[in-house]
Amino acid sequence: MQNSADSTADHGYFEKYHGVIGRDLARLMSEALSRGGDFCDLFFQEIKGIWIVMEDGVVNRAYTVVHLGMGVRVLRGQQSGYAFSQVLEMPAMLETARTAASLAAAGGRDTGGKGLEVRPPKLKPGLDLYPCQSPWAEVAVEERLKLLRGLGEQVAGADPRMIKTLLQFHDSWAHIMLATSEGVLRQDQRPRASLVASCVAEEGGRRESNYVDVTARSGLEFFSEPMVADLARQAVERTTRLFEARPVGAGEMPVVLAPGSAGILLHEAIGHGLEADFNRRRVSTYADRMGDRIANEQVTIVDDGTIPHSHGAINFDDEGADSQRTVLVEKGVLKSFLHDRLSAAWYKSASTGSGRRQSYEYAPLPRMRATFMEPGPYEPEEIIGSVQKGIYAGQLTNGQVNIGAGDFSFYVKSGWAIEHGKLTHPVKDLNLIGSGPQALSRITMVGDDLALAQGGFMCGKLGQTVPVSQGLPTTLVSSLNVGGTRSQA
Amino acid sequence: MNEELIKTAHQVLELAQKAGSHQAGVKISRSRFIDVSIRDGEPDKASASTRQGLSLRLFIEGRFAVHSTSDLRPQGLAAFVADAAALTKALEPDPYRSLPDPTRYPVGPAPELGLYDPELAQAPAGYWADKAARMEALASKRAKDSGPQVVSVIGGAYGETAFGYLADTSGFQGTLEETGGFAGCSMVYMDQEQENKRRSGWWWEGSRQLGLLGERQTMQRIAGEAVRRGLAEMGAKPGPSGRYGLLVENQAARTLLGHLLGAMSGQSLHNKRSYLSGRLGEPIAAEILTLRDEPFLIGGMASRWFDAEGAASSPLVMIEGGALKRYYLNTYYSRQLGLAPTTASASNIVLKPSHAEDFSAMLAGLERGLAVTGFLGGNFNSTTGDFSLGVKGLWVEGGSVKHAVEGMNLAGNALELWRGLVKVGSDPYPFSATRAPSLLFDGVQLSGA
Repeated sequence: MQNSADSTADHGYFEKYHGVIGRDLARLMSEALSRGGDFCDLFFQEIKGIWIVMEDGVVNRAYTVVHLGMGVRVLRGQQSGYAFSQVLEMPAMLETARTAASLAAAGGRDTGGKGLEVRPPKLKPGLDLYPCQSPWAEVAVEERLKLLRGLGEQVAGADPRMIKTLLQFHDSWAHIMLATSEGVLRQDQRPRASLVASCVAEEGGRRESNYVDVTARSGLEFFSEPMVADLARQAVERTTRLFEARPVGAGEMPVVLAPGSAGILLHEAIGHGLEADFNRRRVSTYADRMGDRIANEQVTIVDDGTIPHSHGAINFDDEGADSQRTVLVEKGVLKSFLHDRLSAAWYKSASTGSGRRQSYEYAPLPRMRATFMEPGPYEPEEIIGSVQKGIYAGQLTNGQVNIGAGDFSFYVKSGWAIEHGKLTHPVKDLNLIGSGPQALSRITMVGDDLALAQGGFMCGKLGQTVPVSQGLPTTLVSSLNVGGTRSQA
Repeated sequence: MNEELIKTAHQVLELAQKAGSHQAGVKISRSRFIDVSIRDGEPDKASASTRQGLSLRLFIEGRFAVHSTSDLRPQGLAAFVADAAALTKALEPDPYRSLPDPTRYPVGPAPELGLYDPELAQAPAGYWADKAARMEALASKRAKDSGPQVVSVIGGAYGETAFGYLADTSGFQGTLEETGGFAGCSMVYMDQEQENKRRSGWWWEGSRQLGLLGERQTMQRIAGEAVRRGLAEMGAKPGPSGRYGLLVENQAARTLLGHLLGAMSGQSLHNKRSYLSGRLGEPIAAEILTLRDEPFLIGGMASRWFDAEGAASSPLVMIEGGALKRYYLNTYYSRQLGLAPTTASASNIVLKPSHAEDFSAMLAGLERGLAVTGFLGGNFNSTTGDFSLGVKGLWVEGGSVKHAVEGMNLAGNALELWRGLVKVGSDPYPFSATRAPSLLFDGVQLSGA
């Protein structure tokens, strides 16, 4: 990896391939601060990505992308000006710096301003959370095809009801360089890779579809043979099991959340509400509740950017702050917001390393990384056994939240009905909706089997999407509103 | 500037042919935007930039791939095309891939669609900053005068001008120049009845023409609408579970139409993920549903004279009298499915009204049920047509609003839902390509309190 501690003028990738040197950074930052800004940062990024599709056993299409550019952010108190350039030549980048300076000064209205001294940036190493034995830049296309064909062979013929399989492999490799007017220089290479299996099956004229994915910040070595075999098995099982799904009653009922992807509950019910940009404006339902008890003692919720190879892992955040593990709720008590530089300044606290951006086209915002709940005292069987009539939510997706009112929703693609403490039959396609604070206060049992979801969740906020992870141990929410499907009418 | 892009596009096509591509298509685009927001009287965020990109469709020895880049340096394009060709050649052939039949290309000159306003394209940054500030000032005043405690108010303005050029080795060449401007505001109130809850109202309006956006009257209407929406959410709670009438406000109805259009796409059909598969000519909705694809609407948000692969646009009846008339089929999916091509994707969507009624009038006629003003999460399963969606809105009894609603789910199957369509309103939402009117459905399953 490129996080060497060498602080001399090595600007690594962007010097080698785009001719951007230390003197250029200083000049760009001086220009950026020429109109009264008090801080600026430069974010350089080049992403190369490949996406290959195998349809019914034939690798018949591929998509590639090169995404190159640099963004300039200028802050003046709590105001920000942002501009980016896709041309990494000095005239274009200087123009970009001037635009950002002028936007921060007065939202583009003309005013004067003074210059500010810029300290020469010094390279600061980050963590090394995603070392790769086989980095994607060095992996031949044939290796990727081999991976897809291996998966294809396992899915083909696995079940006679299968009428369509779509297998997709995606990888990307991002070079990042970040420089700030406070003298911080950071460089990173961020891998991301994903293997997705989608299936459609038919039985007696009825069709069902489902999918599974594994995603990580890893190289080729991550996709082991047992993992690929497991992915194939899950894709087929999850699809064909839907034929056995039967209706459940709609309305308020106990919900047991399975370990893994059900961490989406935390992401929506509280995670977004603790992002401090929503709180410094007091628009979040959690804005005035720091230090309050919001859940029972079993509930400790963490947002962690330091889990090796996880989808939400970051060696440092997108404004140069150290990556960290942030305890949001400790034993039921609200402990911390998620801060970026702007919100930390507002609250006179430190950044939690949560400033993230989709790409050089965007200014950073406080965002989640890997959000999960610490394990509790119960065995999963004990938790399921305590429910007379309810839902066991297994495969979750499509979360959404309304920050101010705190209501949130997420979708159960597949799960089980619980009757008299036992899983009785599969259920599918149910939307769950509730109030975040209320749902947290209704967590009555937490299991001892914490797992991070293997799938690659993407979190959207204010038009920006970033990779995140989520996890949960088996957890009982004593009551949530479960939406039915037509068969319940 | 645009001439340079056109030149680059043709250079890339030549490089592609030299690299062995017997057919290739290229799209090159450049756009400039500015986005300014003012919060609580202070500048908050402002950004402005130029975005550029190129995407190349390669057809080599029956193999197909699409390659895109934002790096348009002339010295880098040769390597980009060489890499693209090498990857494409590593795939397996797909006999259904090719450029469109050239007889489907439009015959020029391009029609005047009212998509480009030079005045908007040239408006300086300060224009948008001033507009955002005026929007915020108006919205703040309206919010403060409206009664409840105001937490925060944002005013915003957005302007964009875009140039796109599409060309291919069969000889197609087409340009599209567009402008768009938006102004809007949002405000957050403390709920008067429920502790710690905030209620927000927002409204945006947009136009291709600067003149239509600039009037004080327009901004007054935007601020008033946002306030009205925020106040309407006070005290929101779930309504009762059961089967009730469902009225969906025009801007929210775009979500339901989006699901319907998605199931009509060649991709969904080919992937065996469409509940509308094999239903051409059959009734898929109540007889009052007639849905047209209208690419030539003057100033329309998705107006165009050619589609994504260069095929000529034309108005198309997609659903008539409740019967499915066409799918959205590009060259590839039409060949895969053995049907004539139509157009690659939806443009402007227009529904024929069944009643001369808007949302309020339809609400006044609703005996008991939910008036949906927004969706929260949920999912539409296009394979089966089953959906389960979070909703918010207004609980209605005897034609009047009883209370605001949140925390309810709406579930059903798309075929049943659309067959239960009772009224199509005459109030199309004008600020989007999908000009959805308000829609009234019969007996839909709701789960709430």
